[in-house]
Amino acid sequence: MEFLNVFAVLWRRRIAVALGVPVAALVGLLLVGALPFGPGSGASPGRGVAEARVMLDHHKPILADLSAVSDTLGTQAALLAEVMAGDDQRNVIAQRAGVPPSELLIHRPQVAQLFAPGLLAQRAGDAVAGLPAPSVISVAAASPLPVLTIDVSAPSELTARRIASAARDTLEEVMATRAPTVGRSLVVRPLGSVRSVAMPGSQRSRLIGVAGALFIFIFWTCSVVVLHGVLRVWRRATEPSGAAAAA
Amino acid sequence: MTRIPTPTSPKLRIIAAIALCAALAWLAAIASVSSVSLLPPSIKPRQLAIAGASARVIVDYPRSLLSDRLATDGDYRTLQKRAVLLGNLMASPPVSRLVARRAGLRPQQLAAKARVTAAVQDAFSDVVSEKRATELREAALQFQLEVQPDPVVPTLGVYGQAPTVAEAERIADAAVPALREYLQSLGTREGADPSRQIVLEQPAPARGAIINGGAKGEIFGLTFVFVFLLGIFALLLGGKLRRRLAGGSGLRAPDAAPAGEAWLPAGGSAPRVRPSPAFGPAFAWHPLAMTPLVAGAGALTAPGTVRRTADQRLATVSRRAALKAGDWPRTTRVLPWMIAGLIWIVWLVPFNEIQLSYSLPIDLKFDRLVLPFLVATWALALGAGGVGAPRMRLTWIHIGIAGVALAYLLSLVVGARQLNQSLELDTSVKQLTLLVAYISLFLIVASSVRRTEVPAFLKYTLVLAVICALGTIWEYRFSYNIFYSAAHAVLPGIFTVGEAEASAVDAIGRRLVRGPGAVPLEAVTMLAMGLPIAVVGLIQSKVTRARILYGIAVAIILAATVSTERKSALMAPLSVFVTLAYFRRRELMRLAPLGVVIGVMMLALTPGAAQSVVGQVSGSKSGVPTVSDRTSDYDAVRPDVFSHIAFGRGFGSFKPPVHRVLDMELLGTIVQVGVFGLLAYFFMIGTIVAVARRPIRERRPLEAAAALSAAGAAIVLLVVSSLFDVMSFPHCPYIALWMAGLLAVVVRRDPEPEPGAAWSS
Repeated sequence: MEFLNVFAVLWRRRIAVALGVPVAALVGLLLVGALPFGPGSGASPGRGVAEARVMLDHHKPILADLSAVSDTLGTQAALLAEVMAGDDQRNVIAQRAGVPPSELLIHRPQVAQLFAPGLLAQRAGDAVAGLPAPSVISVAAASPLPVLTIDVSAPSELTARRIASAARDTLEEVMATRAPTVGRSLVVRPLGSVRSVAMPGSQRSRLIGVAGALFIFIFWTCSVVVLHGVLRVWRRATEPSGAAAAA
Repeated sequence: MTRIPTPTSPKLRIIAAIALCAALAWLAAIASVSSVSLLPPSIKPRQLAIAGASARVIVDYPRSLLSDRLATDGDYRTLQKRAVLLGNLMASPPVSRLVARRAGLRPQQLAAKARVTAAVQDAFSDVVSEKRATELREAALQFQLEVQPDPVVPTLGVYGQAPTVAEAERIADAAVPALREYLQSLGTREGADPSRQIVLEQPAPARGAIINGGAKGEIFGLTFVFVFLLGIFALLLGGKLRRRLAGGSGLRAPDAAPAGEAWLPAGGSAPRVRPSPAFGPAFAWHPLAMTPLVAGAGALTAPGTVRRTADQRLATVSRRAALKAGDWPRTTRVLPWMIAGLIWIVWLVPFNEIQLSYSLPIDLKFDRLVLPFLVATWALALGAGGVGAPRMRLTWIHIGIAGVALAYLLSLVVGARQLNQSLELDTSVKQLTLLVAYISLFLIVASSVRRTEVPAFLKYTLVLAVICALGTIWEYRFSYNIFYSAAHAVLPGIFTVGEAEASAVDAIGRRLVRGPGAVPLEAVTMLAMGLPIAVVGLIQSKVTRARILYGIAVAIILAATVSTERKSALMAPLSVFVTLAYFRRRELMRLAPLGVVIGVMMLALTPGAAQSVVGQVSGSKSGVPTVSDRTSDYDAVRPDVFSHIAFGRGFGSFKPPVHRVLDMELLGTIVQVGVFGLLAYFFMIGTIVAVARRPIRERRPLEAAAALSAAGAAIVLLVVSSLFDVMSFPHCPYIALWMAGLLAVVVRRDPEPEPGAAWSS
């Protein structure tokens, strides 16, 4: 029933409502990128993503040797992920992949959920994780499993693939250089090859444009109704007779 | 011809008043984010930006365990414990002094702390008053160092906080060299072998960023909104009081309709309007006023005699529809149905445990997804006007609720800079959405529900309360929570529904029977708030069948309350009976024999539950953790209370997991909004009871039932506020404000129809 009153007001204010049509259409066109300015105007370039998975293992694979002590491999994998976030490793990976080190960022994911996360730790962690860079590597340990996943996002699929391969090689190198002796070292075994895919640039869907235009038009008409009410109250309050009574 | 406003014209006065409020609000908002000096006159922006930096540190032996296949689990456990020790050492005064020196600060400028990250009992991680006092003193410092040892691997998270990114990074980067320096000097002093000392490795320098982006805007906006609302509220209240003093209408309902109000005769003809010389044309007050319908356009009052426009025809259709709309539940009006839908959700859906699966800046719980549609419809109906439009009428309950809103907002405005420094401003601002949701429900109910609809809505509420109670009893008897299960089954995958393990028990062996709530105490409060409707129905009904039904309802609600096995299941219903006994002693005494029957029914419905509850209140059970935790809260919050005694540390700023859980709303209120806010909270509850007194005294069935129910619910709210943090569990405040809204409807200044006439909204 209330909507009959609303429609009555909209009919009375039909010119104001009609003004909403071009505004909504303009917003819709902006969203689909049909205009040379606005949020949809800049074409979003495509990106490449790559993933490599490795497993920390003994020289004699633990899967084949039941007597092998493998309790610490998960912890060692988590620590390796921390070490990989270092500047030295970043420079090596950048050099191997042929990208400038300044354009490469390595994320340090939180290994475990903290029991008492402080606000400073949360905020600083989130803010740093959100720092932009053309190429980003994320090395995550699947603790307690001795498995590490290297995720790369780069401007192109080829670059992402190169960086993922370089990161995997660097992992192997770090394990070798950190071993107390060659015989006591752990090895990094690739779990499959590097997988990559090219992500197309975001294409503005017409549906988004229509939905956006519809939303703006509904918002506009609602505003017309509310403003109509405000005007009515205003007129009522400023009627000289009403004011005299109020006084 | 355009009328030029004279200096005394109402238009000019209103413009001037709004402009003055806006100007004052603007000045206050400027002052909140700037340092204003009069001599010499200057405005400088305040330092409000906060930067944070983080660094990771690996703790290892000189011969690294990282790639050693012979490393054992014991080696890593030892190393992890050593990392925890080193993390705490890093935050201790000797090392933090070294950190400060390396970061170019004076030692007293830097606050350092290490967090307990191990999964220990709350008793070990809860902050006691002495530690809290130190925390409060150090929280005011601009430069902070925080160390968090990882609970699994031997690593440390080191975090720096400072006004700039460079300073924050400097603090985080200074921590490891400072600890190394301390360990080296200690080793040298004690003659330890340097090659056998622990190795601290920081793989990468600290990285930082601004971590409170938008805080300046939030502080500015909060201050502006508060001062502007305060000004408008003062003007409205001043105008009302002035009119009352001048002999006009006050805040209470008059016995007769004010002149100028429209009323609708039975039969659905055009609304008649009592002419009012004081208010001028009738449309000055009636929602249809702006249409020519009532404004005296002969075209509509005498159809067919004058050619009508499309506007007028549409207005006629909408008016006729309004006349036929009727009262809920036999109505075509959308708003009452939407309100009924929301109240159904409040009673039967665990909405606070249902959330959209998407990550959004604010927590979109189920109620906050539904409520906007109700608010939008209400705003449209209000804007469109017309016969069925909502009517805003100021009552003392409105003033009480506005007082709470302003007091809570004031606590945020006063404490905004300090909350910004402790990074808690965002958390507090998010809590405002909940406050706005509560107030919205009250405003919508108080303005949209018709007086003649109140009995139907009370019965509806009672039916929902009984269904809620039956579900809770079912949960007690069969360890199956029907509310959560139904939500799981019905809602699509975009929602995440919490779990309710119905057979689980708490630390002292009590079942966790929670109904649609998140905790058993929430279910107790909900049911206790529905109880007065049943008891009042029992008191007022003259028909035997109705009495039996109301008696059964009372028994079911009481049984469900005790099935939660909480001590509050005695206190909350008792407060209802005491309240009703205060107003209706004789009637309640007459029901004493029926009480025995109800008691037997209650025991039969929930065998064993009542004995469990009674057993808990015996003296020997006073030392259980649920009691000792509450008593320990008093000591723990002393520093917070006394450091912000007047306005509190800020609404919504004392929440777990950052702060301890306060099991008492009143304690949480005084900590967060201070004495001023606590008084406002009492005032709000007091206004509900005070407004209810007159209708209760006058004993008119319609008004008295709503008033007694609302007063009972308000007293329950007050009592449970001393038992748990009731406002953190939205079912309870929603129900309390729903009942308060219905009370506001029956006492509001609506015109009364003449004999034989039907009131239309």
